[in-house]
Amino acid sequence: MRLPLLSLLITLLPVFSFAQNNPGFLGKKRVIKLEHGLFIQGEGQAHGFTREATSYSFIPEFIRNRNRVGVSYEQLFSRKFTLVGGLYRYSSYANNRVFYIDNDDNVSSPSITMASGSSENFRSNNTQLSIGARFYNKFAPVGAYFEIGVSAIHFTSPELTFSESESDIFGDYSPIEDGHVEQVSSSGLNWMGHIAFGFNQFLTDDVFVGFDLRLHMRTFGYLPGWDGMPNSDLIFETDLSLEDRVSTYNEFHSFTAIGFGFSMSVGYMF
Amino acid sequence: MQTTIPNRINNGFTYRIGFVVLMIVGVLHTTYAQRLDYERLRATGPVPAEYTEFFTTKYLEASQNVDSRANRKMRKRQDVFHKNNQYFLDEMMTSGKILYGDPVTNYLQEVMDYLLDVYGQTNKDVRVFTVRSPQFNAAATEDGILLVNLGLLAQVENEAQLAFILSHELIHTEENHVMDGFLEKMKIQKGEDAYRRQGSDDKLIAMSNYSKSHEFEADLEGYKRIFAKTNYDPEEALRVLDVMLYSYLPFDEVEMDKAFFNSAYFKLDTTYFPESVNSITAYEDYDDSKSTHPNLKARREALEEVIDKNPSNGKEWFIINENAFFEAQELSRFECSALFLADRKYPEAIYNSFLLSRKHPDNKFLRKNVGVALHTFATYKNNEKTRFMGDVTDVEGNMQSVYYMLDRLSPKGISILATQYNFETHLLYPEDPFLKSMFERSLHELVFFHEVTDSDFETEYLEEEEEDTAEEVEDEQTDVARRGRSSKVTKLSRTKRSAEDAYAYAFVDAFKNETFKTAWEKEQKDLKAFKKQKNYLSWHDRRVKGKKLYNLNDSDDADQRKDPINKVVVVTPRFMKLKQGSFFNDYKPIIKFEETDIEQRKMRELIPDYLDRVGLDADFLDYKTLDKMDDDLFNDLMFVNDWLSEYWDHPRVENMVSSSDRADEFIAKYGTQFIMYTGMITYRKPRTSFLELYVGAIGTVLFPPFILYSAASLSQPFGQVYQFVSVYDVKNGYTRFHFVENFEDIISRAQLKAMIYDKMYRVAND
Repeated sequence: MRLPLLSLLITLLPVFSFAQNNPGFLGKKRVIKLEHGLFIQGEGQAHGFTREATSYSFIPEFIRNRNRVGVSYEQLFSRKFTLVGGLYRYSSYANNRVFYIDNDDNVSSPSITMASGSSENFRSNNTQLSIGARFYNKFAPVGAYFEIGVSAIHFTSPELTFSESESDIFGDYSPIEDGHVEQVSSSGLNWMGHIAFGFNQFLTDDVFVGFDLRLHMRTFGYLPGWDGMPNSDLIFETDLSLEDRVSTYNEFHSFTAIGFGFSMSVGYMF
Repeated sequence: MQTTIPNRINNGFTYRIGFVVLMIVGVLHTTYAQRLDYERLRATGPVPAEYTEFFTTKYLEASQNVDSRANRKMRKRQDVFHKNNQYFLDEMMTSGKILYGDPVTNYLQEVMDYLLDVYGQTNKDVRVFTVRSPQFNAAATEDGILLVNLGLLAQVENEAQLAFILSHELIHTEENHVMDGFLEKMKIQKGEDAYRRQGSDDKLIAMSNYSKSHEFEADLEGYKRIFAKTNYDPEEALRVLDVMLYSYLPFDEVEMDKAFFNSAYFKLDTTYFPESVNSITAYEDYDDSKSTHPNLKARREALEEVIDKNPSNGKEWFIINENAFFEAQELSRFECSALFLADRKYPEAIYNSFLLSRKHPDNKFLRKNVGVALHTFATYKNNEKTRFMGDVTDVEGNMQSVYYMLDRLSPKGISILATQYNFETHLLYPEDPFLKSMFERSLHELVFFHEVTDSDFETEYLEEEEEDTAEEVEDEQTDVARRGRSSKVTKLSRTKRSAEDAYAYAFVDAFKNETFKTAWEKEQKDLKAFKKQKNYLSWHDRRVKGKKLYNLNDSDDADQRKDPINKVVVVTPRFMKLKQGSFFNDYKPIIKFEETDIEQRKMRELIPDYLDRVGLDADFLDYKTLDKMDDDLFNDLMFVNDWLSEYWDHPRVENMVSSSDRADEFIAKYGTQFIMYTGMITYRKPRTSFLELYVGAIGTVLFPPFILYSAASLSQPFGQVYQFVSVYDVKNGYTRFHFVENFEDIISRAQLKAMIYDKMYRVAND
């Protein structure tokens, strides 16, 4: 991940050279923003039957990031260019499903948790530290802009592990016969890159509201396990063993995921 | 005895004192006094509300006059008229061309007051203002403002003629001719009532006829209801039509003095003047079928029918004040001399000055005008850009001599003439810094453009060839023997050059003058240094061939172009909001008057605030913020407007502005030589292009979230923004800073503020 960061900085170097030519917005060059993200739907997900060839489909309802709240600081460097850094906190809900492709090449993702008595979703808490470069079409931070940025995300989430031995972690009833899945607490670091289109509308000379639409790619490691709870008949129609299914699932799900979201903010210039 | 008449009146009190003194001194003294100098007309006294009131205030007041009994359509049209009328009137009043409170305007108002007394009832507040234009014209507005050009006053022969013109204009305003004309024009354009099924030519003729009917009415009613009731000579009402007939000519017809440009140091060859000039063809029965005014013959015939040939009530040419009339006339003529110059009418400026100089020889103001005219024309001629002058063969009367001379002289010849003339003026008035600078400018132009050196000019006249004496022959032979050359070649080449180059002896006498010699030597030294420059490029190449013409940094006076901007004087900022016009007007953009006014007011608040934030010291000159007693500021604004309008009118190859002589006073007062002019124009229309639709559709297919952008852009109307800010140096006559931003977008309030702030920042940090 160091290389992209470095190359990004090198790319931005010429932009910094314009920094001395910076009137600011009415003389003000700093922005502080409170943001509330509404990341609408899930993520594009890698899937495939084999471990090699995978394709991407957009699977709705798979992941939802909710209530992405945060605070950001933006510094104007030239008439059109700014750098923004932000700290965000949000929950992700991963729908507990398994993916495979049936014989007709259709993607199936039957939920296997409903009957288990556990939650439909696994909830993970994310703390995101983000930096981005914004390019405004005329005068920062007025009007429309394009943003490109990277983030580091620290997460804590339940993790599922497959175990050979029997267990009834989900209550008294357990359908698992050929092994079982354990839910343990885990944490880790993800990387995310994003692009965004945004727009700021000033209410006064200091205060504005902002809207943005963003598209991101995230190294997707926070569900490195499958719950392995087949509560659907479909799941038994595959020829794969549960172990294989878990490992395939894990591999796919550690691939990059794509998502988009929408956020609103209130900014103050000083 | 030479006496000058003070024409700069500081306040009403001194004016009255001055007036009484003039009365005492007597008629002859006032009328025939010779002026040594002339100072431009200045406004005095309280600034009238016509200048300081905002458009919206004026419009709301005027819209009270909408006829409530008229139907809805007519009420709306009347309202549109008032809006247009007040907006453009306000524009005109604040253009710097309209003068109040000067001796000329005061006199005009006196005559007007007399006529109003005679006329009796009027429901309008009739005020007269003077228009600083050399054209022969007068105009009336709907709400009682009468505008009289200085060019008119320069030409009318007596007060009676002036009174007839004022009576004519008074009828226009009393009878609401301006609004009637507007409403009729709308009817004609939309083909209503009698104008249904008329072609475009018929409509044009109908409009012309309607306008002409107003002119006849103003002539006849002006005569019957006003002029005939006075003691003025009725014949003068007809006579003024003759004055109008010849009004395209200068105020007098006198043969041009061929020695006018001569001095103790220089004689201009008389062959540069024509032997005869075109005769005057003024024709009063011209085709007026498409013009707004009837031809003079028709007007004369109509007027003759009502004129009382043997009036019982007197035959006066002057009633109010004969002296004041001639004083006002002379002031107007002097003023026209400078106005011609500002309009790039150099032959007119020279001829007008020549006519005045017959009565006022060696008048400093006139000499300055002629010197500036010659110098500026020389630069145009050097730059090969004299097409604006028109065809010399089309000019009628004695002024053709000046056209002819300017046309005949070569670029180098006219440069020499300008130098010589300005040198003589400088010697006459050595203490005047502007006249000194004019001499230096002319010499600089001659030396640098034509790259003339000592070898181009003789310091002694060529003596008559005499038979060589025996001693001289012997000396020469010795000399030849010593140096190994014959003197034949030298002698022949010298004779040849004198025939080729008529200008070689132009400075023989001038070289004997120490002032000239010093200035010449300095220029020669500068020229040598200039030619030794690494990136030497001759003035001829720069200006005529256009090489690096506009590269300010590459200029030879690049240093002075980098004077830091520490302070600016901001003149009235402009804002104009335009929208798409109606189908009947080919969708031509029209002004959103009220919004324009609102935005302009906001700009007036923002700019001082932003200049303060960027740390640039500034003073503000704005008609709308003038107090009643700010007549000095009013005059400063007038100077700035003069300077700017003339500067913009000249191409930026040689930035000589004739009103620069008034710059020193301005700079001393405000502590800066920089004036800033800034403004914005925004235009908005419904989005009619389908290009955006295609782009949006394709974009959305390729990248679905793009639909948000395309939906937003399609729902927005099309907009265009044009913003400019310029800082001019009135001392050195160049554009110190210029920035234009032009893009297609609808801008928000915050963006607009950011744009204004940004430009102020750029100026402060340039």
